[in-house]
Amino acid sequence: MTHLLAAIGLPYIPGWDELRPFAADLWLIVTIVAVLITPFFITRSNIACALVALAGVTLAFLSQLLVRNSPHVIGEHFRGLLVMDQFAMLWKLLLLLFVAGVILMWFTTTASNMHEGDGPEFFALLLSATLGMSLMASTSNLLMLVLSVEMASLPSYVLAGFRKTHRIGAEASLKYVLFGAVTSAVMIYGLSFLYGLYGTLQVGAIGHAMAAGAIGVGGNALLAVALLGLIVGIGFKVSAVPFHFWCPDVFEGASIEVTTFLSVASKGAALVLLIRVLTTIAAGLGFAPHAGMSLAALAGVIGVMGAVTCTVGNLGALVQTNIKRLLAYSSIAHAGYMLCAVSLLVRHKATIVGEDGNSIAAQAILLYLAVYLFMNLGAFTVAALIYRQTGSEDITHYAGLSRRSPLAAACMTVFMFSLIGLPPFAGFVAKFNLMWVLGTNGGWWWALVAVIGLNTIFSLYYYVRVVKIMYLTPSDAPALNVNPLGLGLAVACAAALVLLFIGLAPLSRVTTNYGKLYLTSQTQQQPAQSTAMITGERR
Amino acid sequence: MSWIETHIPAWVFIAFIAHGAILGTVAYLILLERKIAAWTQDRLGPNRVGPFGLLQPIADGLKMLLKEDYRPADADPRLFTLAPALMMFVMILSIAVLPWGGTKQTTRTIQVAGTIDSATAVAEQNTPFGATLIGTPIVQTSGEDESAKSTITYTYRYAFQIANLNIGVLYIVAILSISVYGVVVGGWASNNKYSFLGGLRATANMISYEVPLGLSILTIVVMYGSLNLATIVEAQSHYWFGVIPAWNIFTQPLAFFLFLTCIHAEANRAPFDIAEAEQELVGGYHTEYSAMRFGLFFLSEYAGMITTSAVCVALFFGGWHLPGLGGNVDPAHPSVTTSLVVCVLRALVFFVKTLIIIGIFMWVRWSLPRFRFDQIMNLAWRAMIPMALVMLLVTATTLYLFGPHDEAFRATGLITWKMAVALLIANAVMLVIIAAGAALLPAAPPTNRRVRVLGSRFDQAPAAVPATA
Amino acid sequence: MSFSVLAQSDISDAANTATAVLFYLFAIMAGGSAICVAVSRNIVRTAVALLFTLTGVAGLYFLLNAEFLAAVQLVVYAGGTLILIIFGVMLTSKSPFSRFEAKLGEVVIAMSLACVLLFALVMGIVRTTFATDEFPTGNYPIDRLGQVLLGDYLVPFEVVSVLLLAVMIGAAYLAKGRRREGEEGAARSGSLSRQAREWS
Repeated sequence: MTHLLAAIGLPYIPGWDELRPFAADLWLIVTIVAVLITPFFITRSNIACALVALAGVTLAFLSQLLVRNSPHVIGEHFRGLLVMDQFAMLWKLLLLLFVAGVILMWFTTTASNMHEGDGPEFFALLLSATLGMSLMASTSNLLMLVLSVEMASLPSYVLAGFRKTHRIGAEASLKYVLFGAVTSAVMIYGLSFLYGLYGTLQVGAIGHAMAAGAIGVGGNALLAVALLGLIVGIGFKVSAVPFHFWCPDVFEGASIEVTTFLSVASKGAALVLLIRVLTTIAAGLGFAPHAGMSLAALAGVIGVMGAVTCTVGNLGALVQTNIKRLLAYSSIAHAGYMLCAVSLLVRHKATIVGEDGNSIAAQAILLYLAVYLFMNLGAFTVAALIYRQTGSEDITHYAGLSRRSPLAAACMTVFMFSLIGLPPFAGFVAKFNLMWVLGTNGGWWWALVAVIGLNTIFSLYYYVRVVKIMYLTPSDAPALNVNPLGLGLAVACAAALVLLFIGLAPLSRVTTNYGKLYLTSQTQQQPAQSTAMITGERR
Repeated sequence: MSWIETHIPAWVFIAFIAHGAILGTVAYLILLERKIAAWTQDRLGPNRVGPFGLLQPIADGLKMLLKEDYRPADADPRLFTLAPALMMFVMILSIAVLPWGGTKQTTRTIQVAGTIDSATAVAEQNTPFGATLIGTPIVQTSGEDESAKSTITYTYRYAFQIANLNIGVLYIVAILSISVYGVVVGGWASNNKYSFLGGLRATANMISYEVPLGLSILTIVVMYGSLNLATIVEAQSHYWFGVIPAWNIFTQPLAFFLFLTCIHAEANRAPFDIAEAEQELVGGYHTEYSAMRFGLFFLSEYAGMITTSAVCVALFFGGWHLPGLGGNVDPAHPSVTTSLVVCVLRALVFFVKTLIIIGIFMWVRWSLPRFRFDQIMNLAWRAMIPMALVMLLVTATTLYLFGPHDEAFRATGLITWKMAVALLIANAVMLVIIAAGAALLPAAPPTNRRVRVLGSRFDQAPAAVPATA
Repeated sequence: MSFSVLAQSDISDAANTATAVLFYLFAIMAGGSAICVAVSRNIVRTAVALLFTLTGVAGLYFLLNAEFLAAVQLVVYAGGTLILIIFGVMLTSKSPFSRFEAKLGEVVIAMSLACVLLFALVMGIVRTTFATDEFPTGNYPIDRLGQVLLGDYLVPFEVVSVLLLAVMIGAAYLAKGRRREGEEGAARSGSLSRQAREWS
């Protein structure tokens, strides 16, 4: 008989050193609970919950800022289940900044007409999705991968249908949940094969195992199925092309701050996760095109997917008249651009991952996300402000905006030009950097550069059309009395875009410093073999 | 004899006997139920078939077999047949892990020609499937090279039950959670609104009460650190102060009451019989069933009662343990006995204890009125689940605080009298906490949504009411 | 009295045969009812067939000596998740729902994709040696399982708890009925005709 006392005393309690790097995530959990119990103490719970959430996100942001690049912090934690590195740190900072922006945006849009008492649910769901997206950047284990993707997805489904009386919202939510359930089932099925083939859940160890041994013809077929599953699951979150159908409908149906949240945070997190997983596997294979598995083919698949995604996104956007649908297709296109950068898995000419784990793809995507965050937050904020005043999301109602609300029109112009990627705005820097990075690797990546260039020309049409309607189409509609907080947010985003262009050097230095991935190949650290612990001490 | 002993494991016999006994008992439980009902209502009960109505169950069984096996026209034929079979199947399965009689120890002697390299290997070959060898076999060799003969004496033990699963308690919970399907599928397949409603109600009832059921079992499990029912029973078979048997009823009375309530609900019997509330739903999920299909539903209800009561006995009343019934040969393992008679006696003790719990079932059924649906849900979710959680927490805390200081507990893992007193005090403290906490909690929302009839004597309102909405 | 010594493999042979028979029984149960799930047109039958699939898989776990996993499979999937699915299906299946009619092109594409996938999987599974541990001889000790769950896998355990909290909040929000506007207000203002309309 097992004596109870033998089991008393936990076998493993993570120390402060391990918890500290993830202080931001812990703060998010604390905030979720705080938001849920707020209505017990305060009667006007919606506003109070928003303030609590904002405070929690700010605290998380600050605590993340305080996490230094010390050797204690960088590396694997919790027995190899989570990993912390500069790349994850910067993504967490960007994410938290963005979520704070989304909560601010909520004050200007939905705050006044959300049903009293729904606030706790809304912010708890928003923050738990944020937690999932934050963890997505740190996963080095297939189990954590699945959990963090689900953590990001499941609350998002509810958020998309949060306006229960809204018919389109309900339809969008249902579409989102069905697509999401199928793709995550496919992903988990695929990942189960990865586990079966290599006997470990650690992504780094899987990469090494791939390099170590041939798994035969049958194994290669299963590996293809496994990686296909992974791409399906993450491609859905990125809204990459065959899995993009949910995106416009959900963006249109969800309330506007949820749309904003999904447009940047959800896609960014998926891209960050994809970069982390694929680069870790590729590092195990030494970035060589033909070692153990065909890394070149995988890079090709992702590159083609990226090219098709941005083309479909831009072509789809051409005919849109609803600003949210337009921005949805635009976000598909931008996700496509970033996917192109993810395809930098195989070394052709350039050194795509340096000795210190510095990944040029990760740098490019971080820079792009940092800029894209401000562009999209700003564009959606202006759209929300106009929706609050006119009750319309149709861009024909933007006529004469330059006269009705000059500041909002000016901000929108900045966002549109930045989304195209025109100087003097930061969008130009981000896109140019991305194309530069692709071009330096040479080979067929030049074709991707050409596709991105061509797509920029497509996108010119629909972005400029918004500006044209605002400035050139006459309208005798009355002046808009826009919410000053929202306008301030928009102006801040626009200013950030200009400043980031001027202060390009510091930003690129940040992303260069923070584009470092912790790759297990550097230390050859073996993961904890827990299953062996169970089976080893059998009685 | 020896061939049977080595080739057919004891659990095969136990399975036959236990199932036979239980299925036979089920028929007589129905008679018992009717007699108790009659006694409660000051009637005589069935007394025509045989002396004191003792042949009534046989007559009932014949009636069920010979009645027309009627199936409604639009019922789903496969599922309609499947449901009662599933229900009975599940109930029979759940008997497998009941620890009827502790552990039987057998010492055997065999003779082998020639000398022997490994006596253990030979002994293991001759040990029945499922039994474990104890100690080292003793070998005596006689004779010279050619005519050498070895005599091996070895001892093995096997559990006097059908299957000695490591996760016995969990197995019971798992099997009980499957039993919901019989009710819900039967209700749906009948293509009858009353049946369907009954099925839905039963499902909600059973799912809700599975939670406190599991939590109250966990309370016992944390005390012994094992999910094995035989281990839990064995750990209860010692005495405090030399006289009081160390049964869990004395250390965890609250857990016992929660468990008892839960198994009432799981059995869908009054006062939890909303699933077949005659006044509302005719017969609930088995309204459309007749003949032996109905019989299976009916019998499985009683078989389920036997199983859950037996688990209750094993968890709280020391299973086969009875003060005064000896036969144990190993002080470290009180369940071990060398005598088959003791094993059978223990099984009888176990069975009688089970019958007493079933008596409580029947007593409760004919004494208490039926709960309303919302009352049942409130009782589970607002009262029993929080209580069970608090109880689990308090038990674990008590063990954590007192366990390390209790030498005997550390050495043997058994609950000593000090620990028992601590747990009993913890139970009392818990009651106080719950009583205080319940007063602080917000009141339940008013759930009696009686349709108001304007102008009736309960609602004196103006008569000018539009007839249609 | 003479005792015969059994052949070395006699008892273990019987056990192996029993295990093999049980394996095929559970495998046919799981596989066959999985086909039923896919083929059956009646959605309640589909759900009931899924019960047998899950139970068959639990049986396979039992045969692998993973008793805890088997019991958890029964409790969580068969007893918990599936019953909710059946609930949902039963409450909606009688309503007139449009049958999904696929176009010929869609059928062709779907079937060819499925065939390619099936081929890849069958070939792959048949020809691959999976990275497996040795077959466990005894039962998994449950206390070790608990320690691993709360030790090595502490983070996923906690993340799952937060995830379940979030999902529960979401589900509760979606299930929360639309408040009847002015239920109390109307009672106070004494608009009886409106009350009567609501209650009738």
